[in-house]
Amino acid sequence: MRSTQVVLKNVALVALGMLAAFAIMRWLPTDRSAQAQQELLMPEQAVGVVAAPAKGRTGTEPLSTDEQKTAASIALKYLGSQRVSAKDNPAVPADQQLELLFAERHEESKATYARGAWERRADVYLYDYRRDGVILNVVNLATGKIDSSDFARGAQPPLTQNEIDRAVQIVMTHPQAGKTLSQEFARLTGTNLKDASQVEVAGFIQLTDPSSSPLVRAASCGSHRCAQLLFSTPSGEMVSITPIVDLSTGLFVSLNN
Amino acid sequence: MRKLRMLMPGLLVALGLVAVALISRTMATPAAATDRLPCASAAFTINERLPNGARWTMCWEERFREGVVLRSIKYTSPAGEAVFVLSQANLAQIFVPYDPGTPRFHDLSDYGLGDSHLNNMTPADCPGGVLLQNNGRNIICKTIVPVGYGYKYYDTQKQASALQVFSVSHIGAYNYINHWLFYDDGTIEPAVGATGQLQMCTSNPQHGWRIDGQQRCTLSSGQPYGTSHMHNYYWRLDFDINGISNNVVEQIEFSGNQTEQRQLVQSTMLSEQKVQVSPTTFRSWRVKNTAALNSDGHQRSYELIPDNYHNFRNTNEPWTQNDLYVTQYNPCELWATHNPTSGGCGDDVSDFVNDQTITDPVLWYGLSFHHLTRDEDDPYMSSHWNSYLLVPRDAFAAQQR
Ligand SMILES: [Cu+2]
Repeated sequence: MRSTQVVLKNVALVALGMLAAFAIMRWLPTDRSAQAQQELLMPEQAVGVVAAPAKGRTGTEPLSTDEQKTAASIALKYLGSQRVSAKDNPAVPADQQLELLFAERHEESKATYARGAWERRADVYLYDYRRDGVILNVVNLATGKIDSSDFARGAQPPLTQNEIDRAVQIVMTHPQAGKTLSQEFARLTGTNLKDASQVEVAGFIQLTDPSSSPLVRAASCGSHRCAQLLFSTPSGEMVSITPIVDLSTGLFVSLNN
Repeated sequence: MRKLRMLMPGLLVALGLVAVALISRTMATPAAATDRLPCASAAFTINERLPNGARWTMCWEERFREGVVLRSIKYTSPAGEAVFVLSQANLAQIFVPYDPGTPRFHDLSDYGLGDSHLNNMTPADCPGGVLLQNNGRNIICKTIVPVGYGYKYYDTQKQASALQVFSVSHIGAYNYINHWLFYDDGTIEPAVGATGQLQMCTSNPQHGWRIDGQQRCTLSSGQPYGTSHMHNYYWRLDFDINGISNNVVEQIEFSGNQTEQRQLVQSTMLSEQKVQVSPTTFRSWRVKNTAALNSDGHQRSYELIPDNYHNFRNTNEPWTQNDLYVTQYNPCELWATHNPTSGGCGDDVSDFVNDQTITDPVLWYGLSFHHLTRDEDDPYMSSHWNSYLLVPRDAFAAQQR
């Protein structure tokens, strides 16, 4: 065999080896479950595409709207069957004494996640204005039963639209705050504020912290359910007040804190 | 015989190549609890192969306060070597105190990043990507983006890419972009972009910057100044490098400030700690698995490299006194401030540090941005970005290209 021939044949063998190695790297899967997943990305598109919605829910997947509704109705039915000695809160409308806040998937412990399977459970949060505290019901969606029901004071999950609407009413009917809001609205829009629906509003929970103002401290915000409101006009002008109200007492707390 | 002997070199190289390929494909990480994804449907699974052959796998969940939570984050190298990184990663508070002293917003716990505050994105929000929906609303955009040179040396170079995952939470007048980049070399870059519109104006020039004749900032009396304020972002990072066991946190820095030489100082955090960043000693932290070695025999780890250029400290707010809190996993320690205390947990992250021995570390990292407003913040603020890095350190025996 001539030396050039030998070199060529060796090169050919190496090339064959590379080809085989490439084929192995390219086609032999490392993670079967991973590669079975559909490749969803299509980078050539100028705008994105919307992926198909989930059909059922499992594991750490969030509650579906149906699961949220089911959990809430189980929790409300359970609470309706419980005898509560507390009287209605006179500052709160009759249909808002027990305010349904929200339902989300119950966060299981890491040990449970490590086991690999667990029942679908929901945390249903309600605010009880009769006793000023949060009721947390853990609803087992697999059994339809209440796994636990706890009442705690001091925790204040975010506000519902009902509560924000009520907070806006407290500001609008307060002599000084209502007047300031109306004047600001008229200055910014050239029209009079007649109805709460004319303003955009964001409502934040207000707690008493070491840095809180004396007015917030005096109102016991945190023990009480307090809201801080940010107003803007429909066209986006900011109303330069940040009023705080006490939803537990229905009282106005402060205008600019 | 002689013919065969002459072909030996080529044959050996060819067989060697095949063997290496086969071994690299069969030696993928051993099965563990962390190998199972806690989600099943494509809608909640992010499982993307990058152009270099690397893969990122994780689940996502929408939650009322945290907005988007990422779980079971795993990187698989182009050669098929998988490293589990984080069991859970999410924002754990956005604390926004204004310079006049009030208001002081705790956006995540007191307003919520999730539910109706999560923006329902349109295809235009997600060029080239895929929108993932929950309950009929497009919450997440995932896409593969180019990130420039992965490396460059003479005429050798790589154009790197990353998996981008983000959602947008509308908080008051602000829009926060909860943004994650998962690079093709294993690096993770968590980020928050602040955009939207200015929230507050003041007539006090000590607490802001003059903004004239604009839509968002007009006052009934006095000259308008956009109120300056802080954005303090906190992340909760539940690292589980190669699984839940044998994870240890180590601080890395260099002594020798003001001198010619620098000396490496490594210290293991056996119990819970709170620490500040230290730009003059190049302080960083890593979570390593003492029992999981790369093929060079080095302990696999991920390093948190901070990027704090503003530090916000207020004696009355103990969670602002440090930048990194290392705690033992506790299911009722959820947020950096205004944490629910009914389960027996502390109210803020500084309370979480109470001398417990660490066997399953959770890292709480805070990053601050003092927002001095400017004329250009009106009508819409250009997105302002803050980010830091989680970088593989010996997670692999060599660069992942
Ligand atoms: Cu800002």
